[in-house]
Amino acid sequence: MLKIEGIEASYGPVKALNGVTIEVPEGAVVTLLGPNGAGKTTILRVVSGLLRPSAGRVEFDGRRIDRRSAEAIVRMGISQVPEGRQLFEEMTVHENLMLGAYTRHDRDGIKADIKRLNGYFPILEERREQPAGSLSGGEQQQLAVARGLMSRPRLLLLDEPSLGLAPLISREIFRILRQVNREDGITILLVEQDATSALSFADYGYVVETGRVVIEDTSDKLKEDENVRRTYLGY
Amino acid sequence: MIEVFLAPAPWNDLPLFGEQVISGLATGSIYALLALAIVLIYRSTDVVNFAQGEMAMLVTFSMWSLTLAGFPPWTVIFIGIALGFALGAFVERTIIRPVEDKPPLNVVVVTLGLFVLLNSIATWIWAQGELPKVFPTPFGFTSVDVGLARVSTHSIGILVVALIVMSVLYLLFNHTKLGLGMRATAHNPGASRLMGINVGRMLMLGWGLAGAVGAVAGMLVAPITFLFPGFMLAVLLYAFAAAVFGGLDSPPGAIVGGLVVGVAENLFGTYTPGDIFGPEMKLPLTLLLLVIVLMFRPQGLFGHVETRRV
Repeated sequence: MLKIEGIEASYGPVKALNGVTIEVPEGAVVTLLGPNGAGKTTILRVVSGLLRPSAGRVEFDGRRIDRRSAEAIVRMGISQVPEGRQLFEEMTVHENLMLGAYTRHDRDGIKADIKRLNGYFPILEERREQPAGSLSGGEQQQLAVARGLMSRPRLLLLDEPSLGLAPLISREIFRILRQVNREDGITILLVEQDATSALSFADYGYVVETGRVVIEDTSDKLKEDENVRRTYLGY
Repeated sequence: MIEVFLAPAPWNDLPLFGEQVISGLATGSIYALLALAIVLIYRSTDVVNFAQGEMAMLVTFSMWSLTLAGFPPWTVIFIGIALGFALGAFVERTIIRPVEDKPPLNVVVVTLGLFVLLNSIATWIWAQGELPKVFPTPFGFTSVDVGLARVSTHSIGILVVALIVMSVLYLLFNHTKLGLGMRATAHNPGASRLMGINVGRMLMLGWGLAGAVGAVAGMLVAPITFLFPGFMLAVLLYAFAAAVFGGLDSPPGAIVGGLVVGVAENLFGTYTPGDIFGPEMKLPLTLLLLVIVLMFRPQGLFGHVETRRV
Protein backbone atom coordinates (compact mmCIF):
# COMPACT_ATOMS: atom_id res chain seq x y z
CA MET A 1 0.00 0.00 0.00
CA LEU A 2 2.73 2.45 1.05
CA LYS A 3 6.20 2.12 -0.41
CA ILE A 4 9.03 4.35 0.72
CA GLU A 5 12.16 3.88 -1.37
CA GLY A 6 15.54 5.32 -0.50
CA ILE A 7 14.31 8.68 0.71
CA GLU A 8 16.74 11.33 1.86
CA ALA A 9 15.70 14.55 3.53
CA SER A 10 17.28 17.39 5.44
CA TYR A 11 16.38 20.36 7.60
CA GLY A 12 18.60 23.09 6.23
CA PRO A 13 22.17 21.80 6.36
CA VAL A 14 21.30 18.92 8.71
CA LYS A 15 20.62 15.66 6.97
CA ALA A 16 17.84 13.80 8.76
CA LEU A 17 17.28 10.80 6.46
CA ASN A 18 19.94 8.84 4.60
CA GLY A 19 18.14 6.54 2.21
CA VAL A 20 15.24 4.97 4.10
CA THR A 21 13.23 2.14 2.55
CA ILE A 22 10.04 0.98 4.21
CA GLU A 23 7.00 -0.94 3.08
CA VAL A 24 3.56 -0.96 4.68
CA PRO A 25 1.21 -3.63 3.29
CA GLU A 26 -2.56 -3.03 3.22
CA GLY A 27 -4.26 -3.80 6.53
CA ALA A 28 -1.02 -4.11 8.47
CA VAL A 29 0.28 -2.31 11.54
CA VAL A 30 3.90 -1.30 11.06
CA THR A 31 5.99 0.46 13.66
CA LEU A 32 9.12 2.57 13.51
CA LEU A 33 11.37 2.30 16.57
CA GLY A 34 14.47 4.19 17.43
CA PRO A 35 16.00 6.82 19.67
CA ASN A 36 15.06 10.49 19.69
CA GLY A 37 16.29 12.35 16.65
CA ALA A 38 16.76 9.19 14.59
CA GLY A 39 14.45 10.51 11.87
CA LYS A 40 11.20 8.66 12.63
CA THR A 41 9.06 11.81 12.71
CA THR A 42 10.82 13.03 9.58
CA ILE A 43 9.73 9.88 7.75
CA LEU A 44 6.09 10.59 8.66
CA ARG A 45 6.47 14.23 7.61
CA VAL A 46 7.72 13.12 4.21
CA VAL A 47 4.83 10.68 3.76
CA SER A 48 2.19 13.27 4.71
CA GLY A 49 3.71 15.87 2.41
CA LEU A 50 4.89 18.35 5.04
CA LEU A 51 8.49 17.83 3.95
CA ARG A 52 9.87 17.22 0.44
CA PRO A 53 12.50 14.49 0.23
CA SER A 54 15.67 15.45 -1.62
CA ALA A 55 16.01 11.94 -3.08
CA GLY A 56 14.03 8.72 -3.30
CA ARG A 57 10.33 8.18 -3.83
CA VAL A 58 7.12 7.52 -1.92
CA GLU A 59 4.30 5.56 -3.50
CA PHE A 60 0.76 5.13 -2.21
CA ASP A 61 -1.40 2.58 -4.04
CA GLY A 62 1.18 2.59 -6.81
CA ARG A 63 0.92 6.36 -7.29
CA ARG A 64 3.86 8.59 -6.57
CA ILE A 65 3.04 11.10 -3.81
CA ASP A 66 6.35 12.66 -2.78
CA ARG A 67 5.84 15.68 -4.98
CA ARG A 68 2.24 16.28 -3.94
CA SER A 69 0.95 18.83 -1.46
CA ALA A 70 -0.12 17.84 2.05
CA GLU A 71 -3.73 18.71 1.16
CA ALA A 72 -3.71 16.42 -1.86
CA ILE A 73 -2.24 13.58 0.19
CA VAL A 74 -5.01 13.85 2.82
CA ARG A 75 -7.54 13.63 0.00
CA MET A 76 -5.88 10.46 -1.26
CA GLY A 77 -6.55 8.75 2.07
CA ILE A 78 -3.55 9.33 4.33
CA SER A 79 -4.09 10.98 7.68
CA GLN A 80 -1.48 11.95 10.26
CA VAL A 81 -1.93 12.25 14.00
CA PRO A 82 1.07 14.49 14.62
CA GLU A 83 3.55 14.50 17.47
CA GLY A 84 2.37 16.68 20.34
CA ARG A 85 -1.21 16.30 19.05
CA GLN A 86 -1.34 19.75 17.42
CA LEU A 87 -4.98 20.31 18.25
CA PHE A 88 -6.76 23.58 17.54
CA GLU A 89 -6.73 24.38 21.22
CA GLU A 90 -8.96 27.44 21.22
CA MET A 91 -11.59 25.72 19.12
CA THR A 92 -14.15 23.29 20.48
CA VAL A 93 -13.89 19.52 20.46
CA HIS A 94 -16.64 19.40 17.85
CA GLU A 95 -14.90 21.95 15.63
CA ASN A 96 -11.70 19.93 15.84
CA LEU A 97 -13.58 16.86 14.62
CA MET A 98 -15.21 18.85 11.82
CA LEU A 99 -11.76 20.05 10.76
CA GLY A 100 -10.67 16.43 10.60
CA ALA A 101 -13.46 15.96 8.06
CA TYR A 102 -12.52 19.10 6.11
CA THR A 103 -11.88 17.23 2.85
CA ARG A 104 -15.26 15.50 2.94
CA HIS A 105 -18.60 16.74 1.67
CA ASP A 106 -20.97 14.02 2.84
CA ARG A 107 -22.78 15.66 5.77
CA ASP A 108 -24.64 12.53 6.79
CA GLY A 109 -21.51 10.42 6.64
CA ILE A 110 -19.66 12.94 8.80
CA LYS A 111 -22.46 12.90 11.37
CA ALA A 112 -22.47 9.12 11.43
CA ASP A 113 -18.70 9.02 11.86
CA ILE A 114 -18.78 11.46 14.77
CA LYS A 115 -21.38 9.24 16.39
CA ARG A 116 -19.28 6.15 15.82
CA LEU A 117 -16.16 7.84 17.24
CA ASN A 118 -18.13 9.01 20.26
CA GLY A 119 -18.69 5.30 20.86
CA TYR A 120 -14.91 4.76 20.87
CA PHE A 121 -14.21 7.91 22.90
CA PRO A 122 -17.27 8.75 25.03
CA ILE A 123 -15.44 11.66 26.66
CA LEU A 124 -15.52 13.57 23.36
CA GLU A 125 -19.29 13.61 23.39
CA GLU A 126 -19.30 14.94 26.96
CA ARG A 127 -16.76 17.66 26.13
CA ARG A 128 -18.22 18.50 22.72
CA GLU A 129 -18.49 22.27 23.19
CA GLN A 130 -15.35 22.76 25.30
CA PRO A 131 -12.15 24.21 23.86
CA ALA A 132 -9.75 21.40 23.00
CA GLY A 133 -7.02 23.10 25.04
CA SER A 134 -9.02 22.60 28.24
CA LEU A 135 -8.94 18.81 27.94
CA SER A 136 -6.53 16.62 29.92
CA GLY A 137 -3.55 15.11 28.12
CA GLY A 138 -5.26 11.73 27.66
CA GLU A 139 -8.46 13.33 26.40
CA GLN A 140 -6.49 15.49 23.99
CA GLN A 141 -4.76 12.41 22.58
CA GLN A 142 -8.12 10.71 22.11
CA LEU A 143 -9.36 13.79 20.28
CA ALA A 144 -6.23 13.85 18.11
CA VAL A 145 -6.79 10.22 17.09
CA ALA A 146 -10.50 10.80 16.50
CA ARG A 147 -9.75 13.91 14.42
CA GLY A 148 -7.25 11.88 12.40
CA LEU A 149 -9.92 9.27 11.68
CA MET A 150 -12.53 11.84 10.61
CA SER A 151 -11.08 12.11 7.11
CA ARG A 152 -11.82 8.37 6.67
CA PRO A 153 -8.20 7.55 5.92
CA ARG A 154 -7.06 4.21 4.58
CA LEU A 155 -3.62 4.79 6.07
CA LEU A 156 -3.22 6.35 9.52
CA LEU A 157 0.15 7.78 10.54
CA LEU A 158 0.58 7.99 14.31
CA ASP A 159 3.40 9.91 15.94
CA GLU A 160 4.00 8.97 19.58
CA PRO A 161 0.38 8.55 20.62
CA SER A 162 1.40 7.41 24.13
CA LEU A 163 3.82 10.25 24.86
CA GLY A 164 3.20 11.74 28.30
CA LEU A 165 0.19 9.56 29.03
CA ALA A 166 -0.43 7.36 32.06
CA PRO A 167 0.08 3.66 31.17
CA LEU A 168 -3.58 2.86 31.68
CA ILE A 169 -4.69 5.56 29.24
CA SER A 170 -2.10 4.69 26.66
CA ARG A 171 -3.19 1.03 26.85
CA GLU A 172 -6.77 2.15 26.21
CA ILE A 173 -5.71 4.14 23.16
CA PHE A 174 -3.83 1.16 21.74
CA ARG A 175 -6.89 -1.01 22.34
CA ILE A 176 -9.01 1.38 20.28
CA LEU A 177 -6.37 1.61 17.56
CA ARG A 178 -6.35 -2.18 17.30
CA GLN A 179 -10.12 -2.11 16.90
CA VAL A 180 -9.83 0.57 14.21
CA ASN A 181 -7.28 -1.56 12.40
CA ARG A 182 -9.21 -4.84 12.60
CA GLU A 183 -12.80 -3.69 12.21
CA ASP A 184 -12.42 -0.71 9.91
CA GLY A 185 -9.45 -2.15 8.02
CA ILE A 186 -7.35 0.97 8.45
CA THR A 187 -3.64 0.43 7.85
CA ILE A 188 -1.41 1.95 10.52
CA LEU A 189 2.15 3.28 10.49
CA LEU A 190 3.16 3.97 14.08
CA VAL A 191 6.12 5.88 15.47
CA GLU A 192 6.59 5.02 19.12
CA GLN A 193 9.16 5.48 21.90
CA ASP A 194 7.60 2.81 24.04
CA ALA A 195 8.94 -0.22 22.16
CA THR A 196 7.14 -2.74 24.37
CA SER A 197 3.69 -1.37 23.52
CA ALA A 198 4.66 -0.80 19.90
CA LEU A 199 5.89 -4.34 19.31
CA SER A 200 2.91 -5.93 21.01
CA PHE A 201 0.62 -3.83 18.80
CA ALA A 202 2.41 -3.97 15.44
CA ASP A 203 2.87 -6.86 13.01
CA TYR A 204 6.16 -5.62 11.64
CA GLY A 205 8.81 -3.18 12.80
CA TYR A 206 11.72 -1.13 11.55
CA VAL A 207 14.48 0.17 13.80
CA VAL A 208 15.68 3.59 12.63
CA GLU A 209 18.98 5.03 13.81
CA THR A 210 20.68 8.20 12.56
CA GLY A 211 18.53 8.47 9.47
CA ARG A 212 18.66 4.88 8.23
CA VAL A 213 16.95 1.56 8.86
CA VAL A 214 19.27 -0.72 10.83
CA ILE A 215 17.00 -3.74 11.44
CA GLU A 216 13.62 -4.77 10.15
CA ASP A 217 11.58 -7.84 10.95
CA THR A 218 8.27 -9.12 12.26
CA SER A 219 7.44 -7.91 15.74
CA ASP A 220 7.88 -11.37 17.20
CA LYS A 221 11.35 -11.72 15.73
CA LEU A 222 12.32 -8.19 16.85
CA LYS A 223 11.29 -9.00 20.41
CA GLU A 224 13.77 -11.90 20.30
CA ASP A 225 16.58 -9.85 18.77
CA GLU A 226 19.48 -9.40 21.17
CA ASN A 227 20.19 -5.77 20.23
CA VAL A 228 16.58 -4.66 20.15
CA ARG A 229 15.98 -6.24 23.51
CA ARG A 230 18.96 -4.60 25.11
CA THR A 231 18.53 -1.16 23.59
CA TYR A 232 14.77 -0.71 23.32
CA LEU A 233 13.08 -3.23 25.54
CA GLY A 234 15.51 -2.97 28.43
CA TYR A 235 16.01 -6.60 29.41
CA MET B 1 -7.11 85.15 20.19
CA ILE B 2 -7.70 81.81 21.80
CA GLU B 3 -11.31 80.92 21.97
CA VAL B 4 -12.20 79.49 25.32
CA PHE B 5 -14.91 76.94 24.78
CA LEU B 6 -16.48 74.78 27.42
CA ALA B 7 -19.55 72.74 26.61
CA PRO B 8 -22.37 72.61 29.14
CA ALA B 9 -22.28 69.52 31.35
CA PRO B 10 -23.97 66.46 29.73
CA TRP B 11 -26.90 66.56 32.17
CA ASN B 12 -27.57 70.20 31.25
CA ASP B 13 -27.62 69.53 27.51
CA LEU B 14 -28.71 65.95 26.82
CA PRO B 15 -29.23 66.44 23.05
CA LEU B 16 -25.61 67.60 22.64
CA PHE B 17 -24.39 64.63 24.65
CA GLY B 18 -26.54 62.26 22.59
CA GLU B 19 -25.27 63.75 19.32
CA GLN B 20 -21.67 63.37 20.46
CA VAL B 21 -22.21 59.75 21.49
CA ILE B 22 -24.02 58.76 18.30
CA SER B 23 -21.59 60.47 15.95
CA GLY B 24 -18.80 58.99 18.09
CA LEU B 25 -20.29 55.54 17.55
CA ALA B 26 -20.46 56.26 13.80
CA THR B 27 -16.81 57.31 13.43
CA GLY B 28 -15.96 54.61 15.96
CA SER B 29 -17.46 51.96 13.73
CA ILE B 30 -15.23 53.15 10.90
CA TYR B 31 -12.23 52.70 13.20
CA ALA B 32 -13.70 49.34 14.15
CA LEU B 33 -13.86 48.24 10.50
CA LEU B 34 -10.26 49.19 9.78
CA ALA B 35 -9.21 47.66 13.11
CA LEU B 36 -11.05 44.46 12.08
CA ALA B 37 -9.06 44.40 8.85
CA ILE B 38 -5.82 44.75 10.82
CA VAL B 39 -6.87 42.04 13.30
CA LEU B 40 -7.94 39.61 10.54
CA ILE B 41 -4.48 39.82 9.03
CA TYR B 42 -2.63 39.78 12.33
CA ARG B 43 -4.49 36.67 13.48
CA SER B 44 -3.88 34.69 10.35
CA THR B 45 -0.40 35.78 9.30
CA ASP B 46 1.10 37.48 12.38
CA VAL B 47 1.69 40.49 10.18
CA VAL B 48 0.88 44.00 11.38
CA ASN B 49 -0.20 45.61 8.14
CA PHE B 50 0.76 49.27 8.30
CA ALA B 51 -0.43 49.70 4.71
CA GLN B 52 -4.05 48.76 5.53
CA GLY B 53 -5.20 52.39 5.46
CA GLU B 54 -3.33 53.19 2.25
CA MET B 55 -4.80 50.14 0.51
CA ALA B 56 -8.24 51.52 1.39
CA MET B 57 -7.15 54.98 0.22
CA LEU B 58 -6.13 53.67 -3.20
CA VAL B 59 -9.46 51.89 -3.60
CA THR B 60 -11.41 54.99 -2.53
CA PHE B 61 -9.55 57.12 -5.09
CA SER B 62 -10.34 54.55 -7.78
CA MET B 63 -13.98 54.76 -6.77
CA TRP B 64 -13.84 58.52 -7.09
CA SER B 65 -12.57 58.15 -10.68
CA LEU B 66 -15.30 55.61 -11.47
CA THR B 67 -17.92 58.00 -10.12
CA LEU B 68 -16.48 60.76 -12.28
CA ALA B 69 -16.64 58.44 -15.29
CA GLY B 70 -20.37 58.20 -14.69
CA PHE B 71 -20.87 54.81 -13.03
CA PRO B 72 -23.93 54.70 -10.75
CA PRO B 73 -23.22 54.89 -6.97
CA TRP B 74 -24.08 51.33 -5.97
CA THR B 75 -22.11 49.87 -8.89
CA VAL B 76 -19.13 51.91 -7.74
CA ILE B 77 -19.55 50.62 -4.20
CA PHE B 78 -19.58 46.99 -5.28
CA ILE B 79 -16.64 47.50 -7.60
CA GLY B 80 -14.83 49.19 -4.69
CA ILE B 81 -15.40 46.23 -2.39
CA ALA B 82 -14.24 43.84 -5.10
CA LEU B 83 -11.18 46.00 -5.78
CA GLY B 84 -10.34 46.04 -2.06
CA PHE B 85 -10.58 42.25 -1.97
CA ALA B 86 -8.45 41.85 -5.10
CA LEU B 87 -5.81 44.28 -3.84
CA GLY B 88 -5.57 42.48 -0.49
CA ALA B 89 -5.27 39.06 -2.11
CA PHE B 90 -2.75 40.37 -4.63
CA VAL B 91 -0.59 41.96 -1.94
CA GLU B 92 -0.53 38.70 0.04
CA ARG B 93 0.44 36.61 -2.97
CA THR B 94 3.12 38.88 -4.39
CA ILE B 95 4.59 40.92 -1.56
CA ILE B 96 3.89 39.17 1.75
CA ARG B 97 4.33 35.49 0.85
CA PRO B 98 8.01 35.81 -0.09
CA VAL B 99 8.83 37.27 3.36
CA GLU B 100 6.44 35.03 5.29
CA ASP B 101 9.14 32.91 6.97
CA LYS B 102 11.58 35.77 7.44
CA PRO B 103 12.10 37.60 10.77
CA PRO B 104 9.09 39.76 11.78
CA LEU B 105 10.97 43.01 11.28
CA ASN B 106 11.39 42.22 7.57
CA VAL B 107 7.63 42.03 7.18
CA VAL B 108 7.21 45.31 9.08
CA VAL B 109 9.59 46.98 6.67
CA VAL B 110 7.72 45.46 3.74
CA THR B 111 4.32 46.78 4.88
CA LEU B 112 5.85 50.21 5.63
CA GLY B 113 7.35 50.17 2.15
CA LEU B 114 3.96 49.28 0.73
CA PHE B 115 2.50 52.22 2.66
CA VAL B 116 4.92 54.63 0.98
CA LEU B 117 4.47 53.00 -2.43
CA LEU B 118 0.67 53.17 -2.41
CA ASN B 119 0.73 56.74 -1.11
CA SER B 120 3.08 57.77 -3.90
CA ILE B 121 1.01 56.02 -6.55
CA ALA B 122 -2.11 57.86 -5.39
CA THR B 123 -0.29 61.21 -5.34
CA TRP B 124 1.13 60.54 -8.81
CA ILE B 125 -2.25 59.64 -10.33
CA TRP B 126 -4.70 61.87 -8.49
CA ALA B 127 -2.81 64.81 -7.02
CA GLN B 128 -2.92 66.82 -10.26
CA GLY B 129 -5.82 69.15 -10.00
CA GLU B 130 -7.65 70.15 -6.91
CA LEU B 131 -7.24 68.42 -3.60
CA PRO B 132 -9.01 67.40 -1.47
CA LYS B 133 -11.70 65.96 -3.67
CA VAL B 134 -15.32 65.72 -2.63
CA PHE B 135 -16.43 62.12 -2.23
CA PRO B 136 -20.15 61.30 -2.43
CA THR B 137 -22.16 59.40 0.13
CA PRO B 138 -25.23 57.43 -0.93
CA PHE B 139 -26.83 58.33 2.42
CA GLY B 140 -26.71 62.13 2.18
CA PHE B 141 -25.99 64.58 4.98
CA THR B 142 -29.54 65.41 6.03
CA SER B 143 -30.10 65.85 9.76
CA VAL B 144 -32.71 63.67 11.35
CA ASP B 145 -34.00 63.44 14.92
CA VAL B 146 -33.09 60.32 16.83
CA GLY B 147 -34.74 60.67 20.21
CA LEU B 148 -33.43 63.95 21.59
CA ALA B 149 -30.38 64.16 19.37
CA ARG B 150 -30.03 65.35 15.78
CA VAL B 151 -27.83 63.06 13.69
CA SER B 152 -26.81 63.11 10.04
CA THR B 153 -28.11 60.42 7.73
CA HIS B 154 -24.52 59.61 6.79
CA SER B 155 -23.78 58.71 10.43
CA ILE B 156 -26.77 56.39 10.48
CA GLY B 157 -25.65 54.91 7.16
CA ILE B 158 -22.21 54.25 8.62
CA LEU B 159 -23.70 52.44 11.61
CA VAL B 160 -25.94 50.30 9.42
CA VAL B 161 -23.17 49.40 6.96
CA ALA B 162 -20.75 48.56 9.77
CA LEU B 163 -23.35 46.35 11.39
CA ILE B 164 -23.96 44.53 8.11
CA VAL B 165 -20.25 44.00 7.47
CA MET B 166 -19.69 42.71 10.99
CA SER B 167 -22.67 40.34 10.77
CA VAL B 168 -21.49 38.96 7.45
CA LEU B 169 -18.00 38.36 8.87
CA TYR B 170 -19.48 36.74 11.97
CA LEU B 171 -21.61 34.37 9.91
CA LEU B 172 -18.74 33.60 7.58
CA PHE B 173 -16.31 32.73 10.36
CA ASN B 174 -18.66 30.90 12.70
CA HIS B 175 -21.19 29.23 10.45
CA THR B 176 -19.44 28.22 7.25
CA LYS B 177 -16.90 25.57 6.45
CA LEU B 178 -14.69 28.15 4.77
CA GLY B 179 -14.71 30.21 7.97
CA LEU B 180 -13.83 27.12 9.99
CA GLY B 181 -10.85 26.51 7.72
CA MET B 182 -9.77 30.14 7.95
CA ARG B 183 -9.93 30.12 11.75
CA ALA B 184 -8.03 26.82 11.89
CA THR B 185 -5.34 28.28 9.63
CA ALA B 186 -5.04 31.29 11.92
CA HIS B 187 -4.60 29.09 14.98
CA ASN B 188 -2.31 26.41 13.63
CA PRO B 189 -1.28 26.44 9.96
CA GLY B 190 0.82 23.26 10.24
CA ALA B 191 -2.03 21.16 11.64
CA SER B 192 -4.41 22.77 9.14
CA ARG B 193 -2.38 21.36 6.26
CA LEU B 194 -2.70 17.91 7.82
CA MET B 195 -6.48 18.39 7.79
CA GLY B 196 -6.33 18.89 4.03
CA ILE B 197 -6.84 22.66 4.20
CA ASN B 198 -5.15 24.70 1.49
CA VAL B 199 -3.37 27.07 3.86
CA GLY B 200 -2.00 29.34 1.14
CA ARG B 201 -5.47 29.91 -0.25
CA MET B 202 -6.85 30.67 3.24
CA LEU B 203 -4.18 33.29 3.85
CA MET B 204 -4.88 34.90 0.50
CA LEU B 205 -8.62 34.93 1.23
CA GLY B 206 -7.93 36.43 4.67
CA TRP B 207 -5.96 39.29 3.15
CA GLY B 208 -8.65 39.74 0.52
CA LEU B 209 -11.38 39.97 3.15
CA ALA B 210 -9.31 42.45 5.15
CA GLY B 211 -8.77 44.50 1.98
CA ALA B 212 -12.52 44.54 1.30
CA VAL B 213 -13.42 45.52 4.87
CA GLY B 214 -10.73 48.23 4.82
CA ALA B 215 -12.14 49.55 1.53
CA VAL B 216 -15.57 49.87 3.14
CA ALA B 217 -13.98 51.91 5.95
CA GLY B 218 -12.33 54.13 3.32
CA MET B 219 -15.51 54.84 1.38
CA LEU B 220 -17.40 55.60 4.61
CA VAL B 221 -14.85 58.06 5.92
CA ALA B 222 -14.05 59.87 2.66
CA PRO B 223 -17.35 61.84 2.52
CA ILE B 224 -16.47 63.34 5.95
CA THR B 225 -12.75 64.04 5.61
CA PHE B 226 -12.75 64.53 1.81
CA LEU B 227 -10.31 62.71 -0.38
CA PHE B 228 -6.54 63.30 -0.44
CA PRO B 229 -3.64 60.82 -0.36
CA GLY B 230 -3.22 61.09 3.43
CA PHE B 231 -6.88 60.92 4.38
CA MET B 232 -6.66 57.45 5.97
CA LEU B 233 -3.70 58.30 8.18
CA ALA B 234 -5.62 59.53 11.22
CA VAL B 235 -8.12 56.69 10.78
CA LEU B 236 -5.27 54.18 10.70
CA LEU B 237 -3.85 55.61 13.92
CA TYR B 238 -7.20 55.36 15.68
CA ALA B 239 -7.77 51.90 14.22
CA PHE B 240 -4.43 50.70 15.56
CA ALA B 241 -5.26 52.14 18.94
CA ALA B 242 -8.63 50.35 18.77
CA ALA B 243 -7.09 47.04 17.72
CA VAL B 244 -4.44 47.10 20.42
CA PHE B 245 -6.97 48.22 23.00
CA GLY B 246 -9.35 45.39 22.12
CA GLY B 247 -6.58 42.82 21.77
CA LEU B 248 -4.73 42.44 18.45
CA ASP B 249 -5.95 38.86 18.01
CA SER B 250 -9.61 39.45 18.84
CA PRO B 251 -12.21 40.55 16.26
CA PRO B 252 -14.84 41.43 18.91
CA GLY B 253 -12.07 43.39 20.65
CA ALA B 254 -11.45 45.41 17.49
CA ILE B 255 -15.14 46.35 17.32
CA VAL B 256 -15.43 47.32 20.98
CA GLY B 257 -12.07 49.10 20.77
CA GLY B 258 -13.18 51.09 17.72
CA LEU B 259 -16.44 52.19 19.33
CA VAL B 260 -14.71 53.15 22.60
CA VAL B 261 -12.08 55.17 20.75
CA GLY B 262 -14.71 56.91 18.59
CA VAL B 263 -16.90 57.90 21.51
CA ALA B 264 -13.97 58.86 23.76
CA GLU B 265 -12.55 61.03 20.98
CA ASN B 266 -15.83 62.92 20.62
CA LEU B 267 -16.41 63.34 24.33
CA PHE B 268 -12.86 64.57 24.95
CA GLY B 269 -13.28 66.97 22.04
CA THR B 270 -16.48 68.33 23.51
CA TYR B 271 -16.01 68.27 27.24
CA THR B 272 -12.36 69.01 27.95
CA PRO B 273 -12.21 72.40 29.66
CA GLY B 274 -11.22 74.86 26.94
CA ASP B 275 -9.10 76.95 29.31
CA ILE B 276 -6.79 73.97 29.89
CA PHE B 277 -6.92 71.89 26.68
CA GLY B 278 -8.35 72.80 23.33
CA PRO B 279 -10.35 70.22 21.36
CA GLU B 280 -7.10 69.57 19.45
CA MET B 281 -6.00 67.56 22.46
CA LYS B 282 -8.69 64.92 21.89
CA LEU B 283 -6.32 62.56 20.06
CA PRO B 284 -3.58 62.54 22.72
CA LEU B 285 -6.17 62.31 25.49
CA THR B 286 -7.84 59.36 23.78
CA LEU B 287 -4.52 57.62 23.36
CA LEU B 288 -3.62 58.35 26.97
CA LEU B 289 -6.80 56.63 28.08
CA LEU B 290 -5.80 53.56 26.08
CA VAL B 291 -2.28 53.55 27.48
CA ILE B 292 -3.70 53.56 30.99
CA VAL B 293 -5.97 50.60 30.18
CA LEU B 294 -3.08 48.72 28.57
CA MET B 295 -0.93 49.22 31.66
CA PHE B 296 -3.38 47.03 33.53
CA ARG B 297 -4.24 44.68 30.66
CA PRO B 298 -1.28 44.50 28.29
CA GLN B 299 -2.93 41.92 26.03
CA GLY B 300 -5.87 44.29 25.43
CA LEU B 301 -9.44 43.89 26.60
CA PHE B 302 -10.19 40.64 24.77
CA GLY B 303 -6.72 39.55 23.71
CA HIS B 304 -5.22 36.21 24.63
CA VAL B 305 -2.08 35.72 26.59
CA GLU B 306 -0.03 33.05 24.88
CA THR B 307 -0.52 29.95 27.01
CA ARG B 308 0.35 26.42 26.17
CA ARG B 309 -0.19 23.17 27.94
CA VAL B 310 2.99 21.15 27.98
